[in-house]
Amino acid sequence: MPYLIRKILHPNDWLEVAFAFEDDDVRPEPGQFYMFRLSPYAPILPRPFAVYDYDGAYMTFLVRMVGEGTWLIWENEEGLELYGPYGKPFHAPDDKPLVIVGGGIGIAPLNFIAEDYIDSGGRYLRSYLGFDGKKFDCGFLEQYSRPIITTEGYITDKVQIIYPDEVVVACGPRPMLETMCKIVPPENPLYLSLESRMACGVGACLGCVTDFPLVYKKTDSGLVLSKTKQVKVCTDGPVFKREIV
Amino acid sequence: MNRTEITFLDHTFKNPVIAASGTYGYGEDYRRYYKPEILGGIALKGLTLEPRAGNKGIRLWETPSGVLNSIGLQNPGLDVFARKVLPKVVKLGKKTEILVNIAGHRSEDYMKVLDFFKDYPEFLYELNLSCPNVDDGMAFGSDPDEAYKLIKKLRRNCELKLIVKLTPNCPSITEVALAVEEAGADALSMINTIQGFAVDYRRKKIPFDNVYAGLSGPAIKPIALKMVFDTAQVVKIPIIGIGGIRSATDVIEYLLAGATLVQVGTANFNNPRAMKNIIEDLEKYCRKTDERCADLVGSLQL
Repeated sequence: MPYLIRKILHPNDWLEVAFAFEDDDVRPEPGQFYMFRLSPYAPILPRPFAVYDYDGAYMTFLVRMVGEGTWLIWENEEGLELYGPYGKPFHAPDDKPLVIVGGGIGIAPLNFIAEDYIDSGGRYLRSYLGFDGKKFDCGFLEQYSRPIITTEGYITDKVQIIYPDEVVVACGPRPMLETMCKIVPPENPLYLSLESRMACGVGACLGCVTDFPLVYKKTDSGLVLSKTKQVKVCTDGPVFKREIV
Repeated sequence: MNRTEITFLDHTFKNPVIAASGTYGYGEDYRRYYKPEILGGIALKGLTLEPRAGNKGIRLWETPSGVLNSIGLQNPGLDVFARKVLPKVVKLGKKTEILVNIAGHRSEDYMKVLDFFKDYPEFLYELNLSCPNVDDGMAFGSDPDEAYKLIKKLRRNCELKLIVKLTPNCPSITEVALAVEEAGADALSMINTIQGFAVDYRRKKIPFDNVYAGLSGPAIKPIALKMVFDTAQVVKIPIIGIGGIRSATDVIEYLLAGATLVQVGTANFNNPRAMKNIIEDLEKYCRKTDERCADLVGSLQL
């Protein structure tokens, strides 16, 4: 099981936690997540966190300290166990330009997806990162993706143009993802990394199942929601493709 | 010598530890941690005649030492289950006991599902009586007369082993237990989740679309244990104890209180290896004390 080796508390309540692997641990792929079991007693449910970075040796998570569970990772690592990697891996096609759009903590899975893209030979990466006042300095994305960053308002307002052939991957609050579904042209593949409350993480309990607006149809006034899809975020996703009918 | 081996409804269970319905899918989802065959048995996700999409919105809410769930019995329905899932279940059933959990709105729903399974007498059938009855909104399991009528109907022409899963959300669970025993139930499993409520203070809203949800986990153990104990005093049919079990000692407590088997559910979420650990610790305990699980059943000194 992966074990904790480093915790870094950043300004604005951002926490980076790094783990090393034991020899027979399965290694993560982009798009995947782990369940953090904070204690055998309480909180009783583990918390899902997307893998933020994996350099072949160490795995890092980016966590927003928002409540009891997340503060426990910083304050007390006794009893912390990691279960995973869970979820379907996602590799952005390395022969197409990639656009990353992140809202707040949504940056976490996007960073690993972007790193993997560059490592696989991807050459054209750009990004939009929105923060609700509390910015996080993401070294990799700042260096490799010429990010447009906002710390107030909606990041989607800044997404003015998507070029032909670009593949877009977005992660953030649900309203942001719904907006992305409508503004990214239908010819551009759009992928969304979803989050959900979870219990088992392995597809057994159906607690993470959500009805997400994933299917859109072309109309004269643009893209309009056609129907929602019922998906199991932990095993069908967390990354899902927008569908155009 | 297998000290954890125990007989229940003429089936020999390698140990009394069963995975609880709704927490273990159809038996395959925890394979990366251990082989499901090590379990005494697996209660499958609840099956209904027609497919059900389950509840929209939030389905989980954490509580101190527990979880509120409002999944809504999402399942593909009998038809798809029979075609896509049953073959794997039959295969798994050669190595561990299978409890097919069935839910319904009307007696006809249960009957049609049981009728399909008459060719599978090797499984056990756990009847979930907590689904609101289509007629008056009360779950079958809350009223002894409704429960009696339902089980009496299902028992007719049905040779399968019927375990009735009781809900604690009723005025008297022992009355319902006695009623279904008289109606011909072969065994009882208790308890299902306890009805609870949550408030999202940040949004000033009720998190669940269905308003109420079911509480499970360590918080409910004292209540479930009491109900098992009280029921064991008045019924003759065997009981499966369910509620907040997360250790071998919890298992032993339920056996002593009168349960022959137990189910483990919520503990799987906190630790996917929980059931494996429980079984190993139970074996260790029985070796150390030179006791057998079968001898512990109902042997509380009163």
